[in-house]
Amino acid sequence: MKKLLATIICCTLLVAGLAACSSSKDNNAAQNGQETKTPDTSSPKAEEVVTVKYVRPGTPPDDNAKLVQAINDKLAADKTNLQLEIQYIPSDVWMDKSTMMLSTGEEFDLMPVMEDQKGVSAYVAMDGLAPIGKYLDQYGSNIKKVVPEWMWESATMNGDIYTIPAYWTETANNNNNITIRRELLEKWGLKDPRTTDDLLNMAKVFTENWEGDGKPVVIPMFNEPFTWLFQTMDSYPFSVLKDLIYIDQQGNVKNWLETPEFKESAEFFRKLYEQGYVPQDILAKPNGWSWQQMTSGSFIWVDGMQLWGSEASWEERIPGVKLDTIYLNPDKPMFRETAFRNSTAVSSTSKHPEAAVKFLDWLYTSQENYDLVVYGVEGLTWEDKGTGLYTRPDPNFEFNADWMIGNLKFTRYEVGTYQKFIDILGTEKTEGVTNSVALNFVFDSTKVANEYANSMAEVQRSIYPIKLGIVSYEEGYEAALKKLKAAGIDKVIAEYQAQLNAHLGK
Amino acid sequence: MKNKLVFLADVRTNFFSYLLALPAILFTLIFGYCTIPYMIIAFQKYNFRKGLLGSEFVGFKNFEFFFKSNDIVQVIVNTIKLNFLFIGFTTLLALVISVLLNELSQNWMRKFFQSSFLFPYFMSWVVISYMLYSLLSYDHGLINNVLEWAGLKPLSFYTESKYWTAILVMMKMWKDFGLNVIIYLAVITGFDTEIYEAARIDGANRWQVCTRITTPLLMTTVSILTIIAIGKIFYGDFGMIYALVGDNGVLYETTDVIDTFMFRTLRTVGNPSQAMAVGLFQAIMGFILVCGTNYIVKKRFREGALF
Amino acid sequence: MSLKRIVSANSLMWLVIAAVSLLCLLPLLLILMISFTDEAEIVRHGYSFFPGKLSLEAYSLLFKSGKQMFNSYGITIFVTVVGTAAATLITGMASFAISNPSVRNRDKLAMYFFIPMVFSGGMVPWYMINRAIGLTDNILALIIPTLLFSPFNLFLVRNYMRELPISLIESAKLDGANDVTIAFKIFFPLSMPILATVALFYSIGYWNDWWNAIMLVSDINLYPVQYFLMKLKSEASMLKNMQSMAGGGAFKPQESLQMATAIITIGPIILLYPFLQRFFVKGLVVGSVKG
Repeated sequence: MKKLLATIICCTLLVAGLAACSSSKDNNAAQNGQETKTPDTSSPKAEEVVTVKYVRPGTPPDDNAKLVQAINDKLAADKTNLQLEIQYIPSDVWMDKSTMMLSTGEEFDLMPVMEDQKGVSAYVAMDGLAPIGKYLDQYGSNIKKVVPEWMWESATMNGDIYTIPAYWTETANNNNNITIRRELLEKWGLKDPRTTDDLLNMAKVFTENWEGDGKPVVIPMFNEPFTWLFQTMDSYPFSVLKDLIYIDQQGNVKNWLETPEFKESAEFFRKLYEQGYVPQDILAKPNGWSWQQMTSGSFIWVDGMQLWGSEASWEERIPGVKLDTIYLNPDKPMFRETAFRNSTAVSSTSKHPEAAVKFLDWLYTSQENYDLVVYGVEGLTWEDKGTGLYTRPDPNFEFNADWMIGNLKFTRYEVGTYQKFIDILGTEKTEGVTNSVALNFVFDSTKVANEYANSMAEVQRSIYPIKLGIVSYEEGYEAALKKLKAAGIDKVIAEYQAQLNAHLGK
Repeated sequence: MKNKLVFLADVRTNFFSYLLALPAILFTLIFGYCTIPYMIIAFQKYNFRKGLLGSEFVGFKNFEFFFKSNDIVQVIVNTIKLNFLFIGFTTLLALVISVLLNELSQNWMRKFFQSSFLFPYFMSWVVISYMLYSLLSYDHGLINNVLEWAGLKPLSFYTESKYWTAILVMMKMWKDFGLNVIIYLAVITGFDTEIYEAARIDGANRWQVCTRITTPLLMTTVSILTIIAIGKIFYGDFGMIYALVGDNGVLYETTDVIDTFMFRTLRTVGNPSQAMAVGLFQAIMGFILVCGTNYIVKKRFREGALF
Repeated sequence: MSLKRIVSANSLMWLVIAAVSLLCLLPLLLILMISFTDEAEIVRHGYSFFPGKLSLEAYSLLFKSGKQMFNSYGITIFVTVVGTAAATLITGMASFAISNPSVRNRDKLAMYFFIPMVFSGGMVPWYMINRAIGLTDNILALIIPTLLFSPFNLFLVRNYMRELPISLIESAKLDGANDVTIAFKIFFPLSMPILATVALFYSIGYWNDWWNAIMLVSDINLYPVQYFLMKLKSEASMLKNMQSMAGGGAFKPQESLQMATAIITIGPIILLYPFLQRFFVKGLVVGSVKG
């Protein structure tokens, strides 16, 4: 009896062990098989085909296989010796899994980098990206044609280029504006607001005359500095980074909290908050609230250019609506603060970075290539409606989004997109633009890493409440300043100033 | 050497028991112990390329952002305080409910209620945060609607940190007590019925049975669960707090815990080594506390000790 | 003791239980209602137990991937059943070993199992180990990593087994039985309540798991249900701006979708617990041994 039991247990363990082993053998076989199919192209006779693996956040769209096949067919037809493979990672776990893949040396070639999450400099500091300067010189002629000269400086770190910017939107004056319901302004005889008093008046008129249940509110996109508001200030243009660092056009770096401009902004918002124009629970609003509130129509204005989607869908949400995006001071010159927010980089685990660069170069060679990668297969997932226009049979369909890998020169807009949208985001502005002096400056935080991290964490804790008017400037300023100083902001500012001076050649 | 011999002798005497434990031992070795060496990155300068063996050793540098931060005391205090309250109140509620349930007859109603206690456990914190918001929001929240209807002033829950210790504790209790009730009920089923019979013969009433018999008998289980929970007392419930509090800085005073603090600070400029440094700190502190608590419990209440 | 007092004590207990139960039921009911509410209605009027307009759009979106969903249910059920059985077995066996009084190192073993509950190297070494032993892109990758054994459950079962009388072991040994026989023929049947509990916990773990699938598997035919549910939920969650939500029609289901996902996740497990409740019955062997 006991022998039988012992045998059974041993057998179970053995079987389990064998099962695990055999699957690992299968795995290795598959990997080996793959490797013989796509060997390293560092050998001079590059007749072999290299698969470029693009890892990106998101989920595969319907018909993903067909779409990728179409890209690969064209790659083969163009005799590029390249093939594309896309690996999707759900957005929730993008950071975790991409970090894991990099940490374990898992081979892949391309990945998107988003400056508002972990930026290029953060990855470079950890050796996560491959330098691609020389490959761009050799194989990136088309990339260089579509990405303007001045953008490359921001992609340069430690003397080499580490990423390929996605120049999908003009960044001059693209977000220092607000979106309003023009039909309501007209209805109540309001002119376009120009000063903070105009805005307060506008809010008052909206609230008093509002029909229907509920009341309209201001929808602040407070995760970014209120650049739209800065236009009303005399000292504009100036640049504010992460609501922490202020840089004026003379190259002076200051603690944003300590500037008079911050005070002005905070006092204005305090008035908005006290009057109830900004919702009481603004910091606690669930994810998606801003969109929901906007689609319900109950808003006074929304920060930024929010003309996303088609005019038809907005008409369905808010019958009779006339959305418009305006600047509080159109007389001021257009201002460009950042070079780019999204880019595609080559991973440091890539075995063929030059193939990755070649692929992106192929992408930006022609409208046809771009269409295949960004919009999919014509007739299946999108319909050509002329230069720069398209429609989608499935309104929810998205392949490789513009903002990740797109470029102004090739972007198409869905039929029914607001013309203003195209004017603001999609039109290159070459004249009448003032660049921030820090436009191409990349801050290296290594020496003040802890202070920088702690200061940035403090922004959310201490600055946001004052910024939004939840806590008045008088009440909150001293405490916030104390906390920032304890976090080490002065050291950060000093280091920033020193580096900026060096950059500007002072 | 002697210990090894004693150990081997034990294995030989109880060969089959060790054999039975073998799969679990192997599993723990592979998926538990084999990952622990990686904690060394807490002392290295993180570099994707150089990996574990090639990265530079930087001593305690990765710990600096945490220990030199302004908020460290508040964050640690919050973590321990909240976890302590969580353990205490959840256990209390689960105890009360299981003891009560045990006294009720085994009909379909009881089965229904028992099942319902498990529902909150399955809701994700994100979904719960939406529910909570619709309850507590200033403008249209249920509670404030009721207050206004009663002619009272509305409360601004999301801009006052003072309410949140209580809110978090209540939410945690609500979510987790069901699971504990299942455990306690299973354990109660295993109790010797003779004691209960003897008690009823002696004329004990419901209350006495509950407090003098059922509850003390459950103490071993309570003790073990509590000690295990103490091991995690330095780990804040990130999923819960980030979903419910999010980026609402006004509430951080009472709700910010080590894990949310770390997440926020390292979000854009941090690296995994710094995260591991804090993790190592949390693990060591928790372990020390467990050993200490276990030692104390062992002296007075042998069965309730973990090891 | 008067009849009245007994009745009111009983009723009071029922009342308390019912009240707590209501607190657990109402939110679930609300979630159910929201999942059936038209998204435009939610935007305009918020949540309600009695929504103005109902819609099946959230559910139709969830079940859109038809065939794949069907396949994934098969995967999830297989993984859950096999995983739970294996996990409960492994846990039960190990618990016996560390509750066996003649095993002198049982407390040291307990500590051995406890330490990794507190110390862990995290995701990266976990991933590396799984890759090294071949637990990627196969069904075992969904069963073995993390979920196959939980020291917490181990301690639960040990706690229960320690309460069982030692005389059981002693008399069985006198009859010539070895530990394996004692474990399977005596302890396991007697520990049914706690084993059922632990089985429930394991099955919940397996049912809800999507982490293993996302991290270790890229073959779409191996994806469990949770992956598809997560896929829909997380599509726009990375970006906090409006751009990501603007795609699609006028009112793309967002909140109703999240709630529908929650309902589908909770549904099957809720049915499992009542089913398992029949195991919460004391083992009958005890009486006979004592007699």
